[in-house]
Amino acid sequence: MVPIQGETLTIALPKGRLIGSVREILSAVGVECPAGLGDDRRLLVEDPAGRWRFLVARPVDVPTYVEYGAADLGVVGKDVLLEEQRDVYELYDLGVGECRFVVAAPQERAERALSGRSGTVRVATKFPGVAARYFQHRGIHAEVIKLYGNVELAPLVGLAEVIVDLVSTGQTLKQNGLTAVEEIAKCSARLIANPVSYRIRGPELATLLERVDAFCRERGLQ
Amino acid sequence: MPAGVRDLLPVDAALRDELLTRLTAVLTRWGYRRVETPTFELAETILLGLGAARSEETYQFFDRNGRLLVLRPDFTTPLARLAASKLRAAPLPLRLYYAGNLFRRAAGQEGRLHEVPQIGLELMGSNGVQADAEVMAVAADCLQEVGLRDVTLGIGHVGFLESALQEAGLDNHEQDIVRQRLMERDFVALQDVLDGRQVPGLGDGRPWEVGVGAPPEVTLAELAQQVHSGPGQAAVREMTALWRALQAHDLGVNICLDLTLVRDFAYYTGPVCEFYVPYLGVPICVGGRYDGLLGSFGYQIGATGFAIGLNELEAAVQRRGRDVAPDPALDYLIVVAAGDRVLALKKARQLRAQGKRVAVEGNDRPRAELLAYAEANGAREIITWQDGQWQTQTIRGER
Repeated sequence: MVPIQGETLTIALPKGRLIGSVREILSAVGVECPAGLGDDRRLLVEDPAGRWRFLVARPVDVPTYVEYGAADLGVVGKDVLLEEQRDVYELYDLGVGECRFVVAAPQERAERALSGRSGTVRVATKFPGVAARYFQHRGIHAEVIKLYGNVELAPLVGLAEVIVDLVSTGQTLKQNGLTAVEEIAKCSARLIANPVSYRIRGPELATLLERVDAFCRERGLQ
Repeated sequence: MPAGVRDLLPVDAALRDELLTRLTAVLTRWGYRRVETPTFELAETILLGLGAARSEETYQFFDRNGRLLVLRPDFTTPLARLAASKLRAAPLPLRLYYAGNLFRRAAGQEGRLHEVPQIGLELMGSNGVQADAEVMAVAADCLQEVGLRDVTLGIGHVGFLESALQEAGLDNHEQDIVRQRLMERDFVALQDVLDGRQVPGLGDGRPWEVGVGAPPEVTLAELAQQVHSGPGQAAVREMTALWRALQAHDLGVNICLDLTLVRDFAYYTGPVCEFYVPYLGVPICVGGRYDGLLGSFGYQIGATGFAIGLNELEAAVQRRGRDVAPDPALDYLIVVAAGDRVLALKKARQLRAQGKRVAVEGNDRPRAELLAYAEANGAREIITWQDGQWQTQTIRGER
């Protein structure tokens, strides 16, 4: 574990689809993010003036770095926060990278996918935590099958009756003859903070958040 | 090994012993006396404190008569039971401390320990902010005693939050949701619940409006303007008095008043606190006032207390504590032939009487093995019986 340094603010950034917008937002509010960070191989970059330090992690690992205090702040999708259930402050909805968690089923069985069943629903998903909690909340007994990708395949070959997946445009579902039958949650990128950093460095974070808010409003992200 | 438990190797256990020795010395200096309660209790006892909703976080089993038992998930509830029964006749207040392990099934949080070592205290039957300030002062004293610097004390107030939410016009259901969101630390969802309504201490849920880290006297003056109900005003007066009492204790820690600070136990009623250091991502010490808990055991007195997590304390000390280094296991290793063992045991007794740490080994093992053992245990010298007298060899010179 990397200890939190005195004055340097450490920010964990998610590699992947959010990185471009995140760099843009941070740089716009004065946290100059080096060009290309997150798209190249650098993992840890410090600002020459020592004000901040960026670490680049897989999105799913960002909340972990923040929970343990290896990073003070982080940016990550709500989808990851819902699945990982880490003890971090969720401070701000950046409004970028919007997508939805849905339950999807083959079009021809969409109506009956979840209603009027007495037995168990088999659910294929990359997000077993989210899926299990949702079906428990709905009072439906579900057998959750963890897959690591191309989840849309599962209902087509009879591995599962429905899937729980993250969709943005819905194109992939459509191309595979699936349709969303229920929405579980709307997701977008969130600014998160370590609970101790949040209290010890409150005033700094407040200033930063106010600037982020002003920028996001101006850009119509809020 | 099962998930959620760990072994302590000698070097870790030595650090824990050293910390416990120092902490119990502090607690004793403040007039607290140790009690011990059983590792498991009747479920009905524990659930009075924990709340039935969280019963699945506990390890449960049955006794021979089919009664449900629980491995203790906290110390405060068993100590409340003890105070309300066996210490009922003792003059108040009760100043009690404990040290031991508690057990929680940390659902969905991989890597978390389920067996949690704690040391803590309870001040029972002493109401008012002087008691809360004392407890926080003892906690600060404990952390400073083991060499921690740059300590921050975060303070919230459960009673204030309740009045503030009521004044802002939230119904009971909404109040529960707000508390839930604060517990989950989710400001984005908090804003949705508040839906533009202003709550003293929380604003409209936007975290930069909360004023974390503002000077407490500024926050207190603002809150005094913002709340109007009797209980709300009383809570502000109580926090103001607490702030003054803490200043009188001259703690040497930073104080951060934050009304979004809530704790996981439902029994808290007044001020709640957490202690942090900048080099550890989790609180080291947590606590607060719980005025209703003893009442549920039929003893109508208020109480306040704190618990220090020993795993967290050890992590913090290892990172920044400079003056806590456990002593080595040995000062001397006596190595003798089988025929000289009687002499060796006598020599060892003499050295131990002088407070030295001594072990005796036979010389029927290779010298390199004995040297490795002596070095690994920090012995400075090897003592041998040669030519009718004791010979002392310093270890470093041999290699």
